[in-house]
Amino acid sequence: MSGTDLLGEFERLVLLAVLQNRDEGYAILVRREIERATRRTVSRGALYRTLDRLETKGLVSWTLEDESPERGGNPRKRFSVTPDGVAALRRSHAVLSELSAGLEHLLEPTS
Amino acid sequence: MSVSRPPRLAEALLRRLLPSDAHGRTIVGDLHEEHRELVARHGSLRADLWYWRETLVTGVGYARPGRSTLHHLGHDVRHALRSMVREPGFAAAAVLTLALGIGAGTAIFSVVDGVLLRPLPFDEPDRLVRVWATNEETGQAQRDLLYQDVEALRSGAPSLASVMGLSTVTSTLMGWAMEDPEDVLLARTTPGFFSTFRVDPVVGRAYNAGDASAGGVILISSGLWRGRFGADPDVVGTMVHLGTAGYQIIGVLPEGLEYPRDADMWTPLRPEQMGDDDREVVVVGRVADGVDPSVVNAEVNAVGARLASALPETHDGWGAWIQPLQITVVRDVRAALFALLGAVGLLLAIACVNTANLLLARAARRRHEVAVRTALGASRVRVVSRYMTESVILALAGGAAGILVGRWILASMLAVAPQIPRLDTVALDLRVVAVMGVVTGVAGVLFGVGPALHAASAPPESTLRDSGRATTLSGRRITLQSGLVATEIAMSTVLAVLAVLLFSTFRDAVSFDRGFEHDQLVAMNVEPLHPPADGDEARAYFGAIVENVRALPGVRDVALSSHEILEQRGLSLGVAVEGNPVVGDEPRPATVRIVSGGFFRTTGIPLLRGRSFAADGGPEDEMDVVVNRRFVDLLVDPAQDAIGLGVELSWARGRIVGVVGDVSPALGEPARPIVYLPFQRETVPGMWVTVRAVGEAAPLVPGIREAVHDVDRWVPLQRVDLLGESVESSVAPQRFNMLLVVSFAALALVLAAVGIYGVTALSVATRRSEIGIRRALGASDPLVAAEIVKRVAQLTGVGLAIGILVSSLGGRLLGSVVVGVEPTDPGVLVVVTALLGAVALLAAGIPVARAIGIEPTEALRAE
Repeated sequence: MSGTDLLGEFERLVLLAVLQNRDEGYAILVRREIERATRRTVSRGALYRTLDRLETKGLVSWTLEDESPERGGNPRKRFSVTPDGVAALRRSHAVLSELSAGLEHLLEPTS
Repeated sequence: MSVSRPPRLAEALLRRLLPSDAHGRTIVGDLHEEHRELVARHGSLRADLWYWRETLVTGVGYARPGRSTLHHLGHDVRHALRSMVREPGFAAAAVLTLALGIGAGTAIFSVVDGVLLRPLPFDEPDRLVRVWATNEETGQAQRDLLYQDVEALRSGAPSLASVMGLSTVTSTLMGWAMEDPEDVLLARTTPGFFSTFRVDPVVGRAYNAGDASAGGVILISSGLWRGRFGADPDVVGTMVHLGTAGYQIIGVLPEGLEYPRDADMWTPLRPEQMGDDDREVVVVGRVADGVDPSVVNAEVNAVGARLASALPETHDGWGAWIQPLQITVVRDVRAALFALLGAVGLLLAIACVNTANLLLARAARRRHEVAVRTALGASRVRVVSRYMTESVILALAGGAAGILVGRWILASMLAVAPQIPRLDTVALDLRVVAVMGVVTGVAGVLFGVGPALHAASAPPESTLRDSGRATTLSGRRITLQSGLVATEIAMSTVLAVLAVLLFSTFRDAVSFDRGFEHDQLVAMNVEPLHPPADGDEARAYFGAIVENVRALPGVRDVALSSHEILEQRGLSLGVAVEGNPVVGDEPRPATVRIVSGGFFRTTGIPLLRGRSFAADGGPEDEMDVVVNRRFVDLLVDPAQDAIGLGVELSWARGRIVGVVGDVSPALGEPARPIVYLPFQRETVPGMWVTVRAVGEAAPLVPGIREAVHDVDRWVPLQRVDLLGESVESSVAPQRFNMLLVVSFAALALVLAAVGIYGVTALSVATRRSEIGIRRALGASDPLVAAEIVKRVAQLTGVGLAIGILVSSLGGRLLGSVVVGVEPTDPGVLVVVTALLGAVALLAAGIPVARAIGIEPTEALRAE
């Protein structure tokens, strides 16, 4: 992938949520994390598709856990952010910071 | 703790929709886990509902990842269109089948919706009821009432907030200077008309009780207002003539709120008209708020019973009851329309089964292609979506074509349709299109999903392994297809049986004997503006007209009568018949008609016994009278010979010299007892001139008009009745129904033929090599053909058996709705069996010919 590609808004949310779960995150937890922070419902289909895409881009990786009875004998994927993923987040963050510079009076939440 | 599982069906569906790799399984696992948590928190019902929703949302949502799926969809659509072009026969058959089914459905549904389902246009229409008179002795259930009954109901049935009575007459409307004559239908109503229907004039005012005694005021319909008065807002105050009486227009009724619908003018009923003793008053009431209809019915029954005991002369044997107005307005067509709706529903079902069958057949032909695609890595979702895309496109095309076909059918129906009440409210509106859209969509998914899942679930290895030397179809598929074809034949049988039954019923109503020869007969009303002063003058006046008309070329016979021959109304008088023990000396009512001597010869009413009037009308003190058969049945002692009996009228005496046949205007309507008096003795101011033509009657009309005007150049001659046409138009609804029923049955047969052809052709195509081998081994043409025909015969036999069973039940049901349908008779079954058998053999013919044409060497080389 090209190193200059910027993350999409939802991609960035997913990456951050995976990071928040400290390599323990799987889809259900990631989704709850995003829903908690955004206070909005997250489409399950959109989340799975985004995780697929991030994986294709090499920004997340996953490990397959053994099948368990409480999951109806289905395995679980635990996601972690790859170094590339962290780098992409940094770039994205830097761009945001640069663009926000001097606008703090507008962007900081008023108390 | 018991293990909570998500709904199995939903889970299976989810697994189908998602890829079957580890990735898909982790998604299934996530949902499983969340379902478990939800069960613990909210119970299993909510959790299951949640799981179903998530299955659909996630399954479909995941399978639709933006651009790539749109790309796939575009690909699928192109593929579907390409394959439609590649197999135009298949596409045409599927689209045409659906178009016919949906088209017929759209048209009939539009009619049923407009005529039966849409409420009447009046305010709170469900509170309007029609009051009927009933007579158990004579078996009449729906007769109209007498004028005095309206007043009795108003005072005796307090749960009716208002009651009105009206009767209609045809009249000639002219301007104040007697110009521009035209025929109009005049409704004479009680003042309750406006409060009962809650109608206010759009222009001018309504009439009230005061107007009723003064008379001379009239309201006109919006149609007449526009057509004759150019929608002039100053029409109020305009003076017009109805016949020779003058009226002032006081208002215009709003469009669509006319009752009866075909009336042109409304005028208050004058008290002197109340004495009329014909049961011809239409009575409608409005049920008071909060009153149960059964209470109203009880009150009306009570009023009827009170009248019967208080006024035995006119009311003996009569009772009264109510019916919702909505039903009575369309009572004549209601049963027929529901029967047609059932027929068209069957037709639509046949079309759907047929399409499913065609798609299944094609799925069978395609399984090799699908197997290759699956083996090359196409996912189930892709295979299913490709199939679904095709079937949805077919269904949409069929639906769109169906709505076009429906519009066309509806337009042609409305063009040829007779005067069905409320037909003017029929239109192909958005609701009908919406209903048909849903039907189409569901049909598309249903047809697609079976073949699609079937194709996707077949393991590609075995299909590919077999296909090189495939000889016969899989048992499961052939069973499914045969089942569908048998179902189709069964439904076609039901439709055909019902069609034959309905057809014969309608035919009876069309072609029954009316008791006279209506073709080549024309009647013209001659109502002189200055009526003859006395009988002699009248006889001279009309005698001159008869002589003038008789001299015209093409006229075979001319006669005079006081009423038009099919006219139901008439002067009803008490008639006492000599020596009649049934009624003693009490006069019994009979309808009086005054006719000239040649009337029976001219009209073709058969003289059953005795003779017609003598040239001078008989002896001075006892004129000749002729009575009809009904008169003899009701008023003459059976032990006596009617001929020669004396009859006593209130003002004169007569002696019966002849008995003639009854004239019956409609099937099942009892004739009235009629006493015919000689024109030589009795006259009325206006007469009907009835002419029998040598050939066609219509071309004679201008000549007859001229001949009458030679005698009296001022007489308006507006009411001309070609009796052949009148009779024809009175049975037009039945004729129309016959046409529809036969068309539906024919369509059903065509669809059944397509179904049988499809299955047989498929089975021949897939067994090509087998047939080739057998022919190589010496099987003769007849042997090959016989085997295929046997299979078709089996299917047809099973379908026929089920169909006949169902239709014998259906026929009984129909008999309870449509008067006159006989329970299934063997003749009908024989006809239908022969018809379907012939269709089946015909449909199998092409595939059989193809099978016989298979060259063993070619078939084997193709392996």
